[in-house]
Amino acid sequence: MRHEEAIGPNSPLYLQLRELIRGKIEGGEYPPGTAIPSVGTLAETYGIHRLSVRSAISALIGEGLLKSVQGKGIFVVGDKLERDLETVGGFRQNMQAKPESRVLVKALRPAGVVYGALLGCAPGEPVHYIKQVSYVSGEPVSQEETYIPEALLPNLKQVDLGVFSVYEALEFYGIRVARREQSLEITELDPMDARLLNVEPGRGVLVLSSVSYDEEGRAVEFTRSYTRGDKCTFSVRYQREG
Amino acid sequence: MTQDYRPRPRELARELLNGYLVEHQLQSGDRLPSERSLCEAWGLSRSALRSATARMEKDGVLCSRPGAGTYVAQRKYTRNLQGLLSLSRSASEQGRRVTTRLLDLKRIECDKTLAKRFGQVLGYPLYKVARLRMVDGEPLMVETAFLPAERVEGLEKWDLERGSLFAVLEEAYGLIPEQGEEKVSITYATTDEAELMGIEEGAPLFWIVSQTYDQNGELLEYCRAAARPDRLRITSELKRRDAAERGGDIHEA
Repeated sequence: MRHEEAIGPNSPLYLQLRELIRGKIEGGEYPPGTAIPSVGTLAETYGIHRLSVRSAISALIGEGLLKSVQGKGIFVVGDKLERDLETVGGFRQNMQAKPESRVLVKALRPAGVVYGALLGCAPGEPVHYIKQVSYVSGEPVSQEETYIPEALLPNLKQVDLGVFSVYEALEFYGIRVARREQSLEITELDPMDARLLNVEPGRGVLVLSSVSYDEEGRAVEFTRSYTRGDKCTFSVRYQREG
Repeated sequence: MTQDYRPRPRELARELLNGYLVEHQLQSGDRLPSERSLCEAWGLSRSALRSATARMEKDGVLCSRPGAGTYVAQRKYTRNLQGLLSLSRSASEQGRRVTTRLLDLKRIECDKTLAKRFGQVLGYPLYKVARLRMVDGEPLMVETAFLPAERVEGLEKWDLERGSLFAVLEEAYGLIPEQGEEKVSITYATTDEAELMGIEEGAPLFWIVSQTYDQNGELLEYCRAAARPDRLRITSELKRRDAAERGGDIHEA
């Protein structure tokens, strides 16, 4: 709960700065998913002590508006849905530890025939293309490619995907995934992709393809991931219908 | 981080080929134009196109017959895990026919692993049912199910080649498969599996381990299946459960 306080010229500097940063977040100058200026920069810009800057920031971290990431900076967190929203169905990925991901490509490209058909947009329409590799304790476990119509998420360029997931980015910008259709297959990778995942030739990888839809039934995202079968399994719960 | 993205030629070739299938609405068995004409039309090298088709064969999208060209592969059988439909029923909904060959049906005693699964002591009697399942006459998977013998006494009396096991459980024993969990990973074909399914030994296969519970929440079936990935796709749909719906789910005392 945010308590409304009148901030005036006599308010402590850290409170003034806190409200200033809040205003910039709400006004869109610091968009969700991006880093705000460093403590040093803010201290210098406003001529105040670093300690005051820190207390302003830690108050906003406490409110859940900012998130501090070791070695990367302080990031704006957008509106999130309840994290533990219940879901039914769908594949869950079972890994020994939470993976860390590295973004290899983040670019705009035309949807083309294939992804245009999947995402319900014209082949010429621009889509974000993101290619990531996930690691668990330094070992590559999966490679993931994501396609999102640019029109849905024009701000994605600014979001640091090393810090936030694509799904968080969608939520930050008000896109709520209501349904996801997934399919699981097995394939064998080209030598180059196999090397990227440290998979021997001839070994299979699990391919999970998924299309997410928002509440209006609009396709908002297509992801295809290749996961090492020796590092991870997928599980799904099911229930009799009716 | 945003950069100019240029797909590798083989990736571009794969996307163009997939796009060609979408645009021309090609069906399984349809033949692709010759390598030469596709390379010319798209300005691709032979090697890029070849590695794309090789990869799409691994994906189970295309198949090639030496000397006869490249064709769209047989559509994979799609198994949706929602709703606990038996293989036979869900196949017939897709207009496909499942046939079954019973490989083994006998009473066994629990070993350590099975005893742990069923929460029973060593030697607890189980029925073991091993079946080769085929879709439209082609081998799809080798399935080995274990069921508590005391709950399905006389299982050998039923024709498990013609009817579905779940149907027998429900109709003959009043046991209703109510919910379950399935774990999917990769295995490599053993000599037996290779022979039964007509594939090479060591070829990658789906490894599907499932546990199905009855209407009383008791473990009814523990099943392990090895399935051909060129014939099978497993699907599931994830849905957000709304607060309202969730409220409605609370069982009344």
